[in-house]
Amino acid sequence: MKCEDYQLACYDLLDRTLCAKDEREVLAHIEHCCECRSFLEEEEKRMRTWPRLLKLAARNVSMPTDAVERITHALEISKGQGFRFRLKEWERTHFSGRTSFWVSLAASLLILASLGSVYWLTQDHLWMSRVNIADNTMPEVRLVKQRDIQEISVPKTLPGVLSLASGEIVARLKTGVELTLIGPTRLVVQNGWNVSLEQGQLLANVPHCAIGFTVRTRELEIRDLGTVFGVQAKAAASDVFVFKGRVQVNEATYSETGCEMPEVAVGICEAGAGVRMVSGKRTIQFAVDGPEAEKLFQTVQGESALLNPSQALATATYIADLGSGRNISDADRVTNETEKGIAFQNTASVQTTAPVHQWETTNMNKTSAAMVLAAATMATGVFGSASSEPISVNTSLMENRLWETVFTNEVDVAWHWEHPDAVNAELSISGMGGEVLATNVSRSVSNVLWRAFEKATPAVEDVYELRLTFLGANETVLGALTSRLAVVKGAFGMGTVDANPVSASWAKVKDNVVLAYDKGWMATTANATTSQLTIAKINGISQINVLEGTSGYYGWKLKKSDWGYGKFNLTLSFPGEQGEWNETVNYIALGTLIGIR
Amino acid sequence: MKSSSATKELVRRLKEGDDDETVRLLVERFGPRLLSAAMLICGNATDAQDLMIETLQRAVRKISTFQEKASFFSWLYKILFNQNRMAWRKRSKLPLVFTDDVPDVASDEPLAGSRLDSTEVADGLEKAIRQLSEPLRAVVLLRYYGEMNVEEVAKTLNISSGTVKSRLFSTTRKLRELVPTEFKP
Repeated sequence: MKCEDYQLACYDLLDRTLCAKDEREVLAHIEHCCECRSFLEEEEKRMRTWPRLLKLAARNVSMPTDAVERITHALEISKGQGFRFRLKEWERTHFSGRTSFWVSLAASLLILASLGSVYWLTQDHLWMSRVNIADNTMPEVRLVKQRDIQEISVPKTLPGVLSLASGEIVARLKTGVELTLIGPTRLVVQNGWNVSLEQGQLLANVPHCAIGFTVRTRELEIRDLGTVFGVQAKAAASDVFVFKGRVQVNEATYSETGCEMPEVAVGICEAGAGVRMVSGKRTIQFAVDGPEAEKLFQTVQGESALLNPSQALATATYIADLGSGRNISDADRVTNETEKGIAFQNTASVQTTAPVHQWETTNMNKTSAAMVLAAATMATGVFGSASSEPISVNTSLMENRLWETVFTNEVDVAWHWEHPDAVNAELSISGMGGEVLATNVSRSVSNVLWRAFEKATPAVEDVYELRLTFLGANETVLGALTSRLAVVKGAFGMGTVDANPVSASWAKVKDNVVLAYDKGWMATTANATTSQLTIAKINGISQINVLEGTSGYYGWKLKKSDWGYGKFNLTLSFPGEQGEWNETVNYIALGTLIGIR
Repeated sequence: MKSSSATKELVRRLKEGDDDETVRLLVERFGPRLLSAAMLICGNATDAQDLMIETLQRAVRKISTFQEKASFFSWLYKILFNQNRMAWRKRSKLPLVFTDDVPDVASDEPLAGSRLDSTEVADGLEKAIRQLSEPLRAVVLLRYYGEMNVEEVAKTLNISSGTVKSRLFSTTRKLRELVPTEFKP
């Protein structure tokens, strides 16, 4: 094969569509051919960077507001053309020659007469709709769809009550908000911007122009921020669940006696998250978590909820039941601990925000990280004031335990202002690729919500260093707190983490590497107090890394580092203890480490 | 690329009948990505919007021909490229109109020695891609914008995988000439 053939094969190599034999052959050639290696690197980089660049290049175009109307209008016209075409075809096949003229004329007159009579019979309605559009006197609440309905009431003026005993309706308000109601439901429509759900279920589809639209129940107030969301009002509880976009949820601002109460914010809920509030009890935030809930949510996510509102709302209830059940137990646990009066001064807590279905905490020294945490989704409190408990990083192969992790990509970095003279603080978060967040906060702020990654699962694994520096007047440094956080795909949900160093996942990673380590992997090292990782490049430099604690993750920065390509011997050892783990890895131009056993 | 259950449901509804609500869902779900792709093909917003609307309109009319085992998005892309080809043929039959206005292209060029930001790189890349011939541009957009693998591109364009690879290969060479050094990956 010529170099050009190998370069063409690079496309398949990157698509992972080559068989093992061909892949070996291509890789073997690439290892020795600079030109082909450079081609492969370029193509890999194109695949990585061009999608983003092309999306950026296409930024100067916006969706026409009348897109739907233009499409439906064009369809109407094409249907008409289709009818005319079919009529011509019919004429052509059934009538030919000069005599067909009189027959087709008669047929046309007959059709015209029929159409005329239909028009005559329906002209009242047509006339009405023309007047409505011309006078801009659209009804306050317009029924768009209805199915199997019984006992429906649609208000002609507002405020008014929109209710139905059973069935399903879609009503459109003047603001463009579309409400799907599933009976029995009773909704008080104040105006196009405010409704109160007294009982039942609704699904709100709020266009961008109606952001701020608010639904109130006895317990909650849900303010739209551009979204599709469902609200359910039961006898003594309210649920809200977001299918698309996000909403601001507050506790209801009036008491049962009707008095105005101060607004209490519950929080912002994004797609896949929701709030449940039972009258007289605490508010519970929940979110899609676990494979079962994720699978269910995928069927109703986004606009899909509008396709089958009943199913969407039933799914939301199920997810709420799953989420709130776990939340309650966690919350109760925290309350109990607080009552016991556990002191957490000078320790750092790691706790989840939304969802709060699992709780992770760790003891940390004030100035240095004590442990790398195996959770991509957690809140990192640098100073713990709330109740917390030490975390155990359970990776032991012998006991086959699970990692305790959470599922959210929002990390609430929270702290206490321990230094009385501090006037502000600098928060810096750096991954292996460099700084990802740097912000200055004033004393009035005690937490920062950090979005560790964009999508539901991280695109790359990383280990982040968090540093909070307290500054006094004149920018004097009064102290600093540090923490670490590992973002690891395998640590999500309740699945087992493949932390086994002899498994493929340990050696097959891309670019920068996150390596798991645990003294519990061997009985002989179970009592170790320190650990270290030696990285030795064959015919190159060596580095001994003292690891944090004896269990956790180490971030090995290969990309844009001085290591370069080549073969590496890795040794994980626990000083003073018998036994170590060894691995040889080959870092090639493709950016993939392939283990050699 | 398999269609999600929501897409399948949408297709089912489209096959049953094109009510306003279904068309709206179709536009919301697939419109933005098609619009961006159309923008990369046409280079101006008005043509891109028209192309996107024509594509979706044709998709609704021809939904009965869509085979469920294929990816719905790939099918839409195929329509998009076909519609563009037809529009291009129509445009090429129009008489040329000469004007006195000379477009100021010099101002779009990056300053020599200046550091380019992502936007400039993106715009430069877009311009270079629009200079490619239609078959090459289609392959590039499906591969790098649609993030399809070679086989998916081949299926979408009804060409062989070998042709896709050779077109990508030619494109790479051409872009080396068209794209300034700073724009290269």
